[in-house]
Formats: sequence, structure tokens, C-alpha cells
Amino acid sequence: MDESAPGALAPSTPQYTPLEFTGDGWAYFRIWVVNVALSVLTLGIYSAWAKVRMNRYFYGHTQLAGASFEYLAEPMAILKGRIVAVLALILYSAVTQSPTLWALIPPVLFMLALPWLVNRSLAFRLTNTRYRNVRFSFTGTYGPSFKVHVLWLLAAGLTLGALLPLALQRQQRFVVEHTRYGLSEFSSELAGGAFYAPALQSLGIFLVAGALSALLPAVAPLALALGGLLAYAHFSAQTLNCVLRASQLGVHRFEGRLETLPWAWVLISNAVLVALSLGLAIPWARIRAARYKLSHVGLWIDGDLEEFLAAEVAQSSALGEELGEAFDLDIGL
Amino acid sequence: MKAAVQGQLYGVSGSRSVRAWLDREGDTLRWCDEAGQVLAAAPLGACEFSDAPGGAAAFVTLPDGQRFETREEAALLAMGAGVVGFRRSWLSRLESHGGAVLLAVLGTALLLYAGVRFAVPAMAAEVAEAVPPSVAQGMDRAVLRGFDEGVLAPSRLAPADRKRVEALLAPLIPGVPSHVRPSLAFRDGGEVVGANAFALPGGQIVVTDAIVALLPDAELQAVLAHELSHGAARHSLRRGLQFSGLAVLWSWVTGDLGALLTILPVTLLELSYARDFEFEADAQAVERLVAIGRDPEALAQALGRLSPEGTVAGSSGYLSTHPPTVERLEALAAAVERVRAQKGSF
Repeated sequence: MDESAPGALAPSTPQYTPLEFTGDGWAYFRIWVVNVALSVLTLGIYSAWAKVRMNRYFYGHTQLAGASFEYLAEPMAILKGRIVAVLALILYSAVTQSPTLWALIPPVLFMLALPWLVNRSLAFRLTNTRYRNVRFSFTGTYGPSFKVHVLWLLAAGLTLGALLPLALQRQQRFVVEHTRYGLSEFSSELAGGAFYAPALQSLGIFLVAGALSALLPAVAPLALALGGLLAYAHFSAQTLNCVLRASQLGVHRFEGRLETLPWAWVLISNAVLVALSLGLAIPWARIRAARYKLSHVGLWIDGDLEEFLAAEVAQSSALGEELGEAFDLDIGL
Repeated sequence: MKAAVQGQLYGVSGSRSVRAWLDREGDTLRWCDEAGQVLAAAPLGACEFSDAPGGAAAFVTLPDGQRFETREEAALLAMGAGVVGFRRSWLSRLESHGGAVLLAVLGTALLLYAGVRFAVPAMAAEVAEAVPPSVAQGMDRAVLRGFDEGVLAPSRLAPADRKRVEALLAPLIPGVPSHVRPSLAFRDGGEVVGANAFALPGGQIVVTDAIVALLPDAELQAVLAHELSHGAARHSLRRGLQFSGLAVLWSWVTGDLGALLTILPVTLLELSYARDFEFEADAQAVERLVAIGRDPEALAQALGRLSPEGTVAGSSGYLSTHPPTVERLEALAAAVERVRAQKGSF
């Protein structure tokens, strides 16, 4: 994959430039613990500010080619979205608890709202991300989003998961192709079958863990937990690599170099650290995960990043993202 | 003139940037390129300063929308000293203040401790009281059905033996609150469950054939008193509610972290609640036995018979729903002493 042979630094040779993450456990610990204390003291109201502080820390410490990212969201926008999201969640669970046919309405509404939710969530996150004084944005509309987030998912369900890797590929491609940096659109050549190999390999890992736990009942819970985490780490790392390698912004191609075992080690050791420290190690766990992930992601910069034009960006509300979080959706890369 | 602050100056229309050096002259900020050529200038008061938490990068936004990004936050702040708005946000200062951080750590720990130790159990007890008996008994049926499909088989006890056990429970019943309707369910626990008895949320007590065969009547009655106390105090309902309460508290403090990170500490804490309930049920069983004129020592003897290996010190665990038998025996002896002392004083 390394095309930059030494001495071949012609102007048109793309240079691999990884993201740089300079966050530090102690520094983030201070921010985190102040966030927790103020959130608890204000009965959760401060959590909107806490989210902004955390994101500004992580974005600010993420650099590409010497320039850092910025998180621009306003805490008040997040707080408003959060309040509506909590009310919606309460209403949702209250109505679905009722023993009448009314209980069927919220899940159907939720399914219909899901494409909108994903779009608004991505739009909020991207328009509030700035790099080199140019903002990102998201141009996805309801129709295509409905197709990939509802229809494809239903198809995956009806085929008992056989089409799930294809559905996930469609979703990722939809996200990348509707992301813009200033006026420039991202493009994706992600092939339809790209996720099948990682999916089958992860299934294999899990089956091995299952067989092991059947043979040695004494280690069954451990084998299943480790196997599950390893399978998850493999799938998330390899699909992220696939998505990035197939993505392009202008003449610049993205790169993903996550490896399964180191990534799994980060996830597993983080879980142990957090559990043993009763949560105190959470800041270090987040920093470690971000450091591994970000430093194995990058861009083949062809020339420089000076030529992107800024676009007028409409500010979007935080409701979509907050609803997504309240309903525990995992949106985005 | 003060030393210049180095950074990148970004234009309004796109990602184009130039390396620039920022200087202050009076109330004007001035950006120059390498050759000293002026690139931009603006009054200090019209420029907006913003800092990234944790000191990653600092930015100055010019009135026309150009932006200056630098790593030299301290030098930039020194340059803008005294100008309103040209300083770190109060949150940044709070986060970098050692005393404030320590206070936040201690305050959070204290609040969490209070929440885990008092608020969650108290709220769970409150809610458990409000659960109607019919709902709790419905839970009993559902739980028992689950066990019957899994580890429990129909009892092979003779009707006479069942009568005998019913008769042991009967004198204990008047002591429990009216909403608890204790009843017995006989089951064969096989190898997995062994000699055991346990209380369901609505007060029903499951007794295995093996425990009926193992324990003499007095000790069996003591065990029934223990399980009855679980039911009377709605311990298993409260355990379920406490688990939910802890999960909410935990996810609230940590933000969402994925199931694996979240569930382990919650489970450990829940188990510590469960062990507290065992001590509580032991102590109440002693009172119940004394109240009907039986020897409370029988419970200690039953414990010894049920787990002979557990009476050896050192076997314990944070991973257990029950405290080590040694500790239970000590607590039991203390409870017996206490009840006897009370009796004696009347």
C-alpha cells in the first residue's frame, strides 16, 4: 500500500498523512471530573456543556497536517435537544407499556422517523466540525436514508441476517457520499460485498469461542466474553478500514490501518481498567481508544489541502442527535 | 515590541492558509508573513479569542471572518492581557485549577457514595412497598415457571413430609405484614440446586427435596424463618429495583460506555446489596424464632450443615450473592445475643 518510495517525491505523489492525536489522560481527567461533578450537582443540566467540553477537547487534540479540528456546537442547542429527547423517550416507553394496540404506534413512528433522525444527527455533528476554517456538512435526504436505514435493514431481517453486511455497506456508503467539506463532496467506491469477509471472519471467531466454551465449561463465560469482544473488534476495525480506503475527498484518498489484535487489546484492557477502578479510569480509557483509532486513520494528501472552498452552512438543531442518543442509536463512523 | 506569536492565518473563503506572525501594537493586532509584510490587522477589542479545553490550540477570529490558529496559547494570552474576552474561559481555568479538580473528585465520590449507600436502597424500598401484592405474586408465578423449565423438577416428597414442613411454617406467618402471603412450593433441585431454599418476590418460598431430607425440623424452621424474612422485607423485588437504579446512576455519571464497561461495576455493587440482605434476613429470622419460642441457634446450625466448607475462614468473594458463612455465623451470634439481652431486660 505504501506508494511513496523514497526519493520519488514528485509533486503529484500522494503523501500518507495520519491523523495525530495529542490528548493526554491526566489533562482529560481534569475536564471529565469537573464535567461529572457539575452534571451531578445540576441534576444533569450541565451534561450539555459537558458534552461540548469533551468534544472540544477531543477535536482540538486531533490534528491533520498541522491543523486541528474544532467542535462548534452550542451547549444551549444540545440542552434543548436533550430535554425534548428525554420527554420523547418517556412518552415512548409509557405508550409501549400500555396493553392496547396503541402500543404498536410508537415503534412504527420510530421506524418512520429513523431516516430523519440519522440525517439530522449527522448534519448536526458535521456542520459543527471545522477544519482549516472550513466547515463540514451533510446533504442526505429522507428518501435515500429511508432506503438504507429501513428497507435494507428489513431485508436483512427477512433473510435472517444474510443481507446484513450488504445493508451496513449501503448505510456507510450513504453516509460518506452525502458528506461535504466546504463545497467539496466526499465520494465512495465501497463495493457491495466489502463487508462479507470481515463479517464471516468475525462469525468464525465467535463460533470458535462458542466451541471452546462448550468443551471447557469452566472458562465458558471468559471465552464467550473475550470471543465476543474480539469478533466485535475485528469487524469494527476491518469495516472501518474498508470504508476509509474506498473514500475520497477531491484528489485525496483516505486510509485506514487499524489492526484487529491491537484494537481488541485496547478495548479489552480498557474494560478491565474501568471495571477495576470503578469508573475512575474512564478518561484514560477514552484517550487510549481515541489515540489508537485516530493514529491509524489518515489521508493520502495529493499536493496540499489549500484548495477547498468554504460553503454557507445552515445551522441545524441538536434534536436529531439527542434523540439518537436517547434511543441508543449508534450513528456515524 | 513583544515577541511574535506564530501560527496559521486562514482566509474567509476556503482552506487556504499562510504562516503568520502575530504582533500587538497598542490596541491593534497585526499579522505579518515571513518577510514582515502585513497580512491583516484588526483592533484588539474586535477580535474574538477562543481556546480549546486542555490547551490544544487557541484561535483568534478577526472581525472579517479570517481565523488565526496557534499552539502558543500562553504567549497569545500574554499579548492580549487585560482585554475583556481575551482570556481563557472560566471553565478552562476551573479545569486547570488543582484544588477545584480535587474538590470535584471528592464531591463526586461523596455524592456517588451517598447515592449508592442511601438513595438507591431507600428509593428501591419505597417503590417495592408500592408494588401491589397481586403484581408481586404474578412475578412469583413467572419466576417459578422459568425455574420449572430449567433447573427444577417436580418434588418427590411424600404428602406427610409436605404437611410437616407446612406445619413448621405456619406459626411463623402471623409475624409478617398482611400483604405478604407466604406459601410453600416443593421442588426437586437435582444436582445443580442441591439442598436449598429461596424466597420469590411475592413471598412464596421454594424448598428443595434435598434440604427437607438434610435438616432436622428445628433447623428447617430456622431456614424458613430466614426466607420468610426475605419475602416480608421484599428483598428480591428491591434487588431488581436497586439494580435498575444503579444502572441509571452509573450511566448518568459515566455517559454511555457500552454494555461491557457498564455492567461489571453495577453487578459488583448489586451483589454487595444482596449480601446486606442476607445479614438482614438472618437477624430478622432470629427475632421471628425467638418470638414463637424457638431456639434461634438452629439457624446457625443449619448454615453449618448446609455449607460445612464455608465455615472455614478465607473463603469469600465479592462475586457472591451470600456473605461467607463465617461472617454470617458471627453476625448471627451477635443477633442472638442482642435478642436475648432485650428479652432479659423486660
